[in-house]
Amino acid sequence: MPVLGSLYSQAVDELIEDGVNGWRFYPDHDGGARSALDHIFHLKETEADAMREAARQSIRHLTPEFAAQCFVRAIRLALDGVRA
Amino acid sequence: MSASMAHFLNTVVQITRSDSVGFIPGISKHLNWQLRKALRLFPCELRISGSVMAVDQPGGVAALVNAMGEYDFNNMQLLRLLLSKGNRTFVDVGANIGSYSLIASETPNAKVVSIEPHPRTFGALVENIRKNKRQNVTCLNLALSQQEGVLELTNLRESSINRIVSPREAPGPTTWVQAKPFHAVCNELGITPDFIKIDVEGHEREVLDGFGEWESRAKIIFIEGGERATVRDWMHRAGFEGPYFFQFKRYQLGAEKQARPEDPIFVHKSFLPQLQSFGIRIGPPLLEADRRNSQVTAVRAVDDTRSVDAVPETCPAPRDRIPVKAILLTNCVTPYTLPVWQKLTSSLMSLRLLLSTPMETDRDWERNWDGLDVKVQRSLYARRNRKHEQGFTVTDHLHFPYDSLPLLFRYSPDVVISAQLGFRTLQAVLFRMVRRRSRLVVLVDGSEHTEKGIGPIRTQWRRTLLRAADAVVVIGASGARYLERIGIPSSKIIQAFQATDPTSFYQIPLRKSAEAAKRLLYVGRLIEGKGLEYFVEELSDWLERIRARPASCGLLGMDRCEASFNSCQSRGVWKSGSSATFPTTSFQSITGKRMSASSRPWPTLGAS
Repeated sequence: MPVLGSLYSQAVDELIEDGVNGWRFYPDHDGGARSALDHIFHLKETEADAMREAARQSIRHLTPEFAAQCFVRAIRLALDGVRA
Repeated sequence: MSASMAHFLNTVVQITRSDSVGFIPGISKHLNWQLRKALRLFPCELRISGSVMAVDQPGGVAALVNAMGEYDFNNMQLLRLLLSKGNRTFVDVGANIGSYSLIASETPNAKVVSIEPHPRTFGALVENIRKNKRQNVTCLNLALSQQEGVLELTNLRESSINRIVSPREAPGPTTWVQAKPFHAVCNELGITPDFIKIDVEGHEREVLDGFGEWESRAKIIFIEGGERATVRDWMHRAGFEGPYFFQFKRYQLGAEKQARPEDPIFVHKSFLPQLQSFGIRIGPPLLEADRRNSQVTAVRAVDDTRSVDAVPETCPAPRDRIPVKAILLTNCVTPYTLPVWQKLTSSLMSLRLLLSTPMETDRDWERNWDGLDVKVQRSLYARRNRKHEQGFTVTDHLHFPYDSLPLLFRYSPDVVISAQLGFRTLQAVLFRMVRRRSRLVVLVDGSEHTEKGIGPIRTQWRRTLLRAADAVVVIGASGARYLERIGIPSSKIIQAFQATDPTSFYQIPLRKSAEAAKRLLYVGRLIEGKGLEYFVEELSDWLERIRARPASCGLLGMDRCEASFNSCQSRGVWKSGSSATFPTTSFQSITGKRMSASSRPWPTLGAS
């Protein structure tokens, strides 16, 4: 970490915030990845540490329990017609 | 009852219990076979797996092959799996007309030795091997026994029941055949047998007694009559565990016989860990399971309260669960969905998973269904390559689980969760329409990018299915945007996310040394659709510009996109010794070791 990721990936699109926990780019766009590499290899040590911490924090809630609860919400919605 | 009627009914019973064919297609083929017999339309050709089998008369295994194809479905699947794991040798003792030998020899790297004593049956065996142009099979016209000599063999028209004549046997037509011990055959051919099938109509113990120095060197033995004490004693003395029965759809070796019983299996103790590494779960063998069950029953009788205390603490109390009986229809259980389905199971009154396949063929993951109630469906499979809008080729693995609807009516769930927008969801929609009190949740894991280029007909198909759903779960906002764009109201969309257990990653320290901070790690499938080559090109240009290079590059993932590897090397992205590739399935398996200092994973560079 930090993370470089393609904007074609749904997970990257959702979870990566430019300059906060990584950089996103379009892999088939000229210069996209180079710009991300420039950013990531010119980070100061303290900045890199902060981004690593931010990366870890940004996915801390994405546990199997959380995902299962999304399905529970969907089941409740289907049963009651009401969004939980 | 006449013998032919008894044969007919026996095959019908076997079809009803078969794991390889549905009742209607099996019976149709069997009736067709009766017609062929009545009209004497022999010889004929049958198909078994990817091979052709010539049959010059009815009866024997031919009727089974005709009706069921791979009639010993579970054992034949296991044999195919075992032979696919490297250059292995299979010895088929009592090969008959070659059904096991043909299936084994479909694996090009396998070496097959087919041994059949009856001269006429041996002729049919050789003809079948020749017809299929199998270069990796050696056929021997021999009987195996404990010592060299000649043996008297029955000479019945029904080839599958010819056997070595015992002294107590009533007189009948016989022939004399040459016999050798197993060890002599192995030494003469210079082979080291890995897997052996023995089907010799009661002569099994004599065959085993001829193993000599080879008795503990085989890995797996499929053996008819393996429950008999004489066979079990020999096996246990030679270091084998068993008898087991293999359930392919559960990927499990255990005490439970198949619905249509197949030959028992013995596994050498030294090979058990390797079997487990293939993802096969191993329970207690037949007789040990019986012993353990009786012990458990005894313990329960003494202390009945202990079983209540044994309920895992993490399992919510029954009153906290949603009181619904749910069915989940999906392809397979992946390592990252396993904990999600486990948690969901503990949130509902009941959750049963109906899977189209135990595991996708292009994934190397171990099957793990711990804590889940799983049934593998009857399903047809097709693979299709299509061009993505961005030019790369995507391989779709298509499953058609054709028994979803009957199973849904049988289980009668309150809620059906159906993954993807294909055949299984169509059946779930039909169930929802008929059982109006049931509810349907559809899981859609696509995004705006992955669904690019979907034509108007497929879009309309999806719209129709989703309008019948009571709720739709998507994996992220991009998926939700895609559905809204095709007309699905946002009020019925719930956003979920792919999740994993993050705790195993927390052991990795966040602070990095300056050197470690220059490591690059790619994590994702090594396939064209991930866009790795684009990235490598950009990385290469960037390195040339700054005249530096990262300390190391790693590629971690399944499959192997040769183009990506070659591109990395030809563009000088890594020097010799500075790169690392881990074509593995488990990130956790290396995080604590080789990557412990630090890494910069970029989890994906594109989308398939």
